[in-house]
Order: sequence, then structure tokens, then C-alpha cells
Amino acid sequence: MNTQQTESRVEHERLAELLGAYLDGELSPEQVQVLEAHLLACESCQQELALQRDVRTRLEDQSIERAPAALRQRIQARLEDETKVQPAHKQNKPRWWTRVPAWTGWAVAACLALVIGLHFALGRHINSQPIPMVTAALANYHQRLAGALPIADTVALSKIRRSLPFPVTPITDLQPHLIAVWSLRISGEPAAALAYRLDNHVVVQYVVSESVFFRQPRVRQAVAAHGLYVVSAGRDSVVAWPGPDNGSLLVGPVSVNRLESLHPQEKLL
Amino acid sequence: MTPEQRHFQALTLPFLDRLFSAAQQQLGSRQQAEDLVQETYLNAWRAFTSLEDEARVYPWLYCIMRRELADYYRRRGRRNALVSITSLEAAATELLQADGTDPLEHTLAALGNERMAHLMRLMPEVFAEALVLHDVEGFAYREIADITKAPIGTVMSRISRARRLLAGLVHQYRDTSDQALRQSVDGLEHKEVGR
Repeated sequence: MNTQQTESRVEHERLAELLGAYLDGELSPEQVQVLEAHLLACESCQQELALQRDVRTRLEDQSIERAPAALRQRIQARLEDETKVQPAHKQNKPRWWTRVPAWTGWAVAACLALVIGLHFALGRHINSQPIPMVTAALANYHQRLAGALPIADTVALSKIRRSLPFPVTPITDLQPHLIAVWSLRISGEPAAALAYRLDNHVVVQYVVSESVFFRQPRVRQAVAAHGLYVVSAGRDSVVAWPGPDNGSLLVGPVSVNRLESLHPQEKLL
Repeated sequence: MTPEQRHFQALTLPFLDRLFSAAQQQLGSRQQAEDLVQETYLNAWRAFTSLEDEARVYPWLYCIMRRELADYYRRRGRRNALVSITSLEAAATELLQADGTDPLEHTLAALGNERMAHLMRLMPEVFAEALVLHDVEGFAYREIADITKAPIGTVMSRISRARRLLAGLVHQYRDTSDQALRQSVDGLEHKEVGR
């Protein structure tokens, strides 16, 4: 290998190291320019970039595991105890992985109480078993809203529309307030997410395939009876309705009635 | 409950699911994840005055959980060399050179969440953590550098390399059943605990 080849190899390895950051939008414009010029001619870097993208896309779909309701109550109770006895110095307590969980008894009772409470608090269509597409949409909603949202533009929306085998129909009343779009997987299948500003909140419309939407009997029954499926989960509401060859789930921290007012078919594009 | 405690809870409890999920990803046990997160909240309350920017409450909470997690690993000993990094790099290269149209994309799409979590627990900690923080949790590189106290160049390199390692793991364990993989992870972690 001559000097020129060695330099070229070193440059290739240096640029290959940047591919992950390039994909993540973490490079400077100058670095992007150099890397994109290199990518045009380098097949192995193109393959490496595809690998980086494939792994990232899959991990973005790794669903958030909801914390057990009893854990929240346990934490709140422990925090209240802490207030009553504010430690002047750090106490020499046994660590959590060696401790016998003394709270187990009342935690079970609290859990039972919460389950009973939820049964009455949650919406009219919810049952004891969560529906996977609803759980996935709620988890994605919380994950995305806790970070920076990708920018919505017509190119991004068109790209997502082209990549999906079903139509993505934004909600007419909300379309002027579209602030972000992204793709994801729900119930193992590709889906689209469209985030809108609604009053002082952000609501997200998850558009899924018809097969994902109608997979659960409870959804089918609710849609047959009421034209839509409704769930309240804590502060959040979810309203789901079928569209042309697709289904939409509208998620947001507003009342069910507010979300319902946006759903009717005649309001869709 | 005092007003300060109400404020603390209002700020921090919205992140309970995310913290629990991240803990579960890394520990693989719901019970241990619950205990870790509970301890994190108690420590966070005790250190509440150290929170300088309320807009950055989640990275602050994550830092506290990370310290607790590091303490746990230090006491128990764990997986710095569960798998050969060299063999994973080789597996990733083999995968890139395989025939077919983007076989990795299809293989990954078919993998369940639990299997992905098991595979990540076979990776050395720093790499698994980089993927959880960026690709699962959605932190930016600068935030990850702040959380992990690592230079941004290191963060960049870890994320890129971690994706290669995970692709290598997916390829290397492609014919291993979920049950055998779980036993493999449990066995390795158990062996590490006993050293």
C-alpha cells in the first residue's frame, strides 16, 4: 500500500467513525459536507450507514415499560415519610438490593385499591387488559413529548406518506397547527405520528394500518357501537376511530370530549 | 405534604415511567428496577436543592439513578466482558457483506422487545448505556456527555460502535431461541455475581 492509499484509508476510517453522528444530526455543516462527498463514492460507508440507521430505528421502537401503579404510590408514601423525619445526616441504611421489602404487604393492598380505582376512573371502553396499540401510542407520546420534537415540514410528511402502505390523513381542524411528524412501529407494523398544537397542549395523532386498528375485539365492538373507541388514562385521553384503510388514535392531556370533537369523518381531508 | 414536596413530585413523577423503563432495560428484573427507581426518587428528594435548572429535571434524575446503578454493579460485579467485542465486530462486518437486501432491517423488525433487551444486556455496560440514552431515551449527545461525564467525542464513538456491536449480537445469536438467550444472559450475570 503506497502513501496515498494509506492516507485514503486513514481518511476513510476517520469518516466512518462519524457516520453514527451524521445519522443523528450531530455533525457541523462542514463535517456533513465532507462526509456526504465521501459517502457518494464509498460503498462500505453506505452499508455502515444503513446498519447504523437500522439499529437506531429498531431501538426507537423499543417500547417504554410503564411503571407499576403501586410503585408510584410507594414512592409518594416514602417521600412523605422522608418529610416527617428529615435526616440530618445520611443514614447508614441497608441498600435496596439487600433489603427485605418490608412494604410488600401494604404495597399489594395499595395495588389492589388502585386497580379497583382505575376500573372506575378509566373510560367507558377500557377493560382490565390494556390494548397494545393504545399502550404503544401512550408510551411513544410520553417519550417524544419529554424530548425535542422533530420538525414538521411538507417534505417530511410526504416522505412518511410514501413509505406507508396506507393513507396518512391529517385532522383538518388541526392541520394548520401541525408541529412535528415522525414514523414509528406500533404492534410490530409501521405507523405515522403527527403532533399538533391544541390550545396550550400538544396532541399526537397516531395513524396505523387497518389490520392493527381492528386487531382487538374491544376496539371492533366499540367502533361498531359508537363509531369510535375512547380511553382515559390518568391525565391523558385517547380517542381512536377508523379511517379509509387506516385507523387513527388521538392522544393528549385534554378531555375525551375535546378530542372527540375533532374526530368525525367529515372533518378528515 | 409540604409545598416543596408537592413541587418536587410535580416535577419528577412525570418521568417515573421513563426511569423505570430505562432501569428495566439495564437490569432485566422488574423487582430490581422498582427498587432502584424508588431509591433514586428518595435520593433525588434529599438532593433536591442541587437541581439548578428545572427544565433539565430528567437528566438530573437520570444522573442520580445512574450513580445508584453504578454502585449496584460495583458491589455485585458485572459484565465487563460478557462477550468478545472483537467477535461482535467481525459478526457485524459479516452481516454487512451478506447477500440480500438489507437483511439486518428485516431481522431487527422481527425481534421482540424482550429479546432486544436481552441482547443489550450481553453488551459491555458503557455501550449498552450509550444506546439506551440516545436511541431509546432520546437524549442528545451533549446531554449524554453531561450525564456520563464523558467527552462528546467519546459519546459519539460509543454510540456508533454500540450499534455495530448490537448488530453483531443480533447476527451472532440469530439462531438462538429466546429461552436459551435468556438462560445465557442469566447464567453469565450469575457467574459474574459469584466471582
